[in-house]
Amino acid sequence: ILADSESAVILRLRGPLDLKCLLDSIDVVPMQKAISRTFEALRLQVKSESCVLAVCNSPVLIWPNKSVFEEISPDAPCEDIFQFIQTDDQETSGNRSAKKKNKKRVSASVINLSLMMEATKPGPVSAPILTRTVQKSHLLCATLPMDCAIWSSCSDTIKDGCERLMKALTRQLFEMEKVTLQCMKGTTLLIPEPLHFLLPEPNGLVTVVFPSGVPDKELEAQRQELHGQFELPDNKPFFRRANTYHFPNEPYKDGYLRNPHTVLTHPTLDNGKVYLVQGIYSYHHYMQDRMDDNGWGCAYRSLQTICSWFQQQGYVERGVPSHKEIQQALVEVGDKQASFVGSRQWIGSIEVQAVLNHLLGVTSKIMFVSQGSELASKGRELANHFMTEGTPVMIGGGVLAHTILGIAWSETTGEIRYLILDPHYTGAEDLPVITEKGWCGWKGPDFWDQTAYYNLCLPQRPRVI
Amino acid sequence: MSKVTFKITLTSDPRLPYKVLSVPESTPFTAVLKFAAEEFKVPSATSAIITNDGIGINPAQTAEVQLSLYSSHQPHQTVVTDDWVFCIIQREIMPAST
Repeated sequence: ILADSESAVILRLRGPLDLKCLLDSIDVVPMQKAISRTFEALRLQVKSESCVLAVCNSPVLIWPNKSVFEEISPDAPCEDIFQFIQTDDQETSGNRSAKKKNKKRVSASVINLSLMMEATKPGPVSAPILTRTVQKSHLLCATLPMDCAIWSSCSDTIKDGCERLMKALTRQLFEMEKVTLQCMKGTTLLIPEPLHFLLPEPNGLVTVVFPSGVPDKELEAQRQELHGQFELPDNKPFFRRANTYHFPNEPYKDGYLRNPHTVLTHPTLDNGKVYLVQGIYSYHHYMQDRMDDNGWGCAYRSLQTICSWFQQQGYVERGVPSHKEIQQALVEVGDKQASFVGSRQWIGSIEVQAVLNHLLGVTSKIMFVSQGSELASKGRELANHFMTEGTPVMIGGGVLAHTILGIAWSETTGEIRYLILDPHYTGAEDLPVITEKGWCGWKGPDFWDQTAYYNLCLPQRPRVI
Repeated sequence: MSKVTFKITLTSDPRLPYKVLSVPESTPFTAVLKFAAEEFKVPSATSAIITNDGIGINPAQTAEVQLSLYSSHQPHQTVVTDDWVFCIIQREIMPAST
């Protein structure tokens, strides 16, 4: 169920459940039966009155199976939970603008809940009884990383939300049982891992259980089945590990900004449409990674931005290459001499294309104009590129390199604007500065050197899932 | 040693002149570029070869591989067909100055 993202709240329940299974035999069938019995016991456990949901960073506790709600009313809307949550923002200072409680949320907000079990029960006090039996058996011991997420609209009550979460939890245990049994090889078991994916409408947020530790390339059959089940195109990945949904309140560990262009207001042209990069990229620019490439590294940074797109869309697993790795790749393909590595030599579109091909296996189209003024006439080709490939474009010429993230173009008037990500920025990852000062911004045709020769590198999306 | 034959067009000249070149099939494309640049009298350091559909190529691969990837050329085929076409284009970067 996909709700309007401005008022949507995501309820996310996480917590460990112990999978403990005494195995009298390690033959396949008895093992499978024992594991199934253990999962059934876990399903009963989460339906029991000992199950507790604790809202993170708040005093709110909920016993969903006996309708006990502490600190909060079950009929209140889910949004009310936010009033009880202590966020870190109330303590931080610095140049980041403080989040106000009544500031309009631009994306869905997340309420995190922890899954807990009461360890004791009230009852008559009696002495424990111990028995000892000597018997050889195998013990299977693992922790299941439960992780359920549901969208709730503003009209959902807390009681409704909890009911749906508990249903999702039981469903997840069924799916984990299935994956565990399917991926069993002899006495080796793989821990089932739930991953969340945000699919295009009408599917919305979907959770899939995968066997952990298995690389993407061994899961193609599962992905094909999922593509069929959700009626997704078979030439674009949706279920690779890199495609997992990034929850709005989680910062990216690497510190790079993602998609700074999304906070901009796009230009409106007469009969014009906006054609943008599809998916997520990181902003790479001068001076990052303690690398002083001021004055010569612009094309390298644009190439890094493009590589980050391929990594984050799940097409490649390798991380963004460093300047040295880029230079080394060019030596390996014979485009540059060995002395190139460690130098501060410029590169252009042809080198960008060669590195994308050598390191990522990606093919690119090269477009060129003999004069910058001709770029204004490339609207249709660029529009088609963003519609069919959706990849960021590197443009070099006039002594500079930039990344084109999209265009606004009118088929009827021919008017055009370019959404530019500028790698020449030398400051910190400060989104307001980057967008207000135009380091990521919309430019007109006069942005280009009107008499200079330009080459553009248009990376092509591999047609795989 | 077998040779491969293909057409290559100079795109920086508005008249789009082309030449038909023959090279041993195992020639790496970096050498093909040098050879073609010499034929057209353009500097090879600031030139590059792409297919006539505008696809960039991996310069490390041999002439044979490039042709089989981008055209209907069959190994050891010697008849030139229309789709064996590449283009020489200009690179936009400035030469090295550290």
